[in-house]
Amino acid sequence: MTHRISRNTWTAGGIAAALLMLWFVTTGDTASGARLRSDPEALKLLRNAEGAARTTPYEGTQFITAWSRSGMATTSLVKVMHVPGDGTHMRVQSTTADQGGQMFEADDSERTGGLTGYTPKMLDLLARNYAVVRAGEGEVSGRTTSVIEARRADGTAAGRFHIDGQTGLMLRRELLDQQGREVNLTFFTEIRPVVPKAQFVTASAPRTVEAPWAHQLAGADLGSLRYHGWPVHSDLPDRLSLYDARQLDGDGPVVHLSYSDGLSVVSVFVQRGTLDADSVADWHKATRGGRTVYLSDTVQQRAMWASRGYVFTVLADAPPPVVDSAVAALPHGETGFWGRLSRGLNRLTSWANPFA
Amino acid sequence: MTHLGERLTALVDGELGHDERDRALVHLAACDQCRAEADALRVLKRRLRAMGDALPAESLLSRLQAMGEPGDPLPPEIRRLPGQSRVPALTRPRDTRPVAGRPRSAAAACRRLPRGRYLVAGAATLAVLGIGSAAFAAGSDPRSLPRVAPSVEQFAVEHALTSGDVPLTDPKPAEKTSDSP
Repeated sequence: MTHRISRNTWTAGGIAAALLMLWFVTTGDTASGARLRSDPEALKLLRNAEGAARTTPYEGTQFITAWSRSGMATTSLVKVMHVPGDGTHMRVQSTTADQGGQMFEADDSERTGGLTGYTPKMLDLLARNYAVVRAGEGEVSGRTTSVIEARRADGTAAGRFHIDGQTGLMLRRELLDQQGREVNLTFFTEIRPVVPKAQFVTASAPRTVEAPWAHQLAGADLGSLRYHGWPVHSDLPDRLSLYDARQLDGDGPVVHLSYSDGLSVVSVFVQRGTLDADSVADWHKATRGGRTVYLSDTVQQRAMWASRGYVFTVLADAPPPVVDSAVAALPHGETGFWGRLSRGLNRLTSWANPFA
Repeated sequence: MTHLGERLTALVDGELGHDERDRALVHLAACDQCRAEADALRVLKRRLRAMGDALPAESLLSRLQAMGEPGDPLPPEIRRLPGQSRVPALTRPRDTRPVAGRPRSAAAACRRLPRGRYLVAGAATLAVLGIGSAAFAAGSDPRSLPRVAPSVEQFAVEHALTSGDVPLTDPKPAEKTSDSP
């Protein structure tokens, strides 16, 4: 009897342990955090690159290209000048762009990443979702770099960064899909870490000062939006987490929800209303998740549709499958009795628990 | 002289045939012992019938029985033996007879559907209808919504600024490149 009881106890304990392990494996961050170990030195280099972008004077030419799902490449060339304490002056001189322009981003904002392609918040997500490791040395524009890779759980590289050995600046950034192909590439074709000669030009020339929308949305604001029916998701597929939310106030407010896994960035802009057909005249119609959306593959992947009284605009720097999953997960307009019932139930649920 | 014996009971119960009853009655007329016994039986029968009349009403019985549901006797208390970690689950032999052949318990036989179940079912139906109606009403598309033309270029700048990238305007796609994936 004692042996049988003991065996039963072990069996029950084993099953419980197996279920616990299954739960850890199938649920998100804790499992991935435990499984994907990052190199602290690699993370430190990335953090320093974000700081160096604000504290180092430099001027150079940045080459930005992205590949769409159809294989089309879109390229832009940007002249960049940075003066510490002042800001970054950018002049788009794209060979394939039909319009350029110049912009200025002030240094007073610590939220942006200084053209590194990530912000401090995104860096936290990167460390959570990927194994960030050093991968030897490389060379960009004649300068020796430390190569850092963000690797998936299967060991494949999802992102690759080149950090300048002298200045700590980010000189090259690659976003790779599951097959190892580049889907987004940003690098300096030339860079000089000196105080830009054109500083006086930056200061005196007419310039468009760009800054993120000032009205940041905190947790309570997002809860209030949900309560009033706005579709605000905390997460999207492929471990995309909401890391920033802002609102452009005005007659028709626009809510900007920023999602990232640390590498890919998906911006969702939500407005109240119905979609003006002229806005998507040059976009092509496609089906995502069984519903109609309008797509435009430029240097970003873009999607637009209207649903349930809201207009959604998605801009993404991410592999196409990631964008597709995100678009499919966002609300789309069901019709008929069941669609209306489903809409109503969702609305009632959000009223009952606005923070869900 | 032979006494009536068991036929006396049959006589009192009125179960004797016509001729036999006549013969019994003739015997009773001549036999004091049997007559006294017959009188005693009749008195007993009257009393029994009187007791039957005094039984409680059927509805009262039903209510009393319903109060006792589930009515099954409590299982006997089983003590653990020294060294025994748990009490045996079975407290009586397993009933292997077909379900149809098993005797129904008194409580089950007299079980009535309690009124509470109807109340619960009614309340649940009302709740489903209520929630459904509320959801249908809440799911209506608001009318007179503004027509929106999203300012994609403005969004692109905002997207870049919040992701640490260069704010780009809208470039046109280049021709397909050979090194593209």
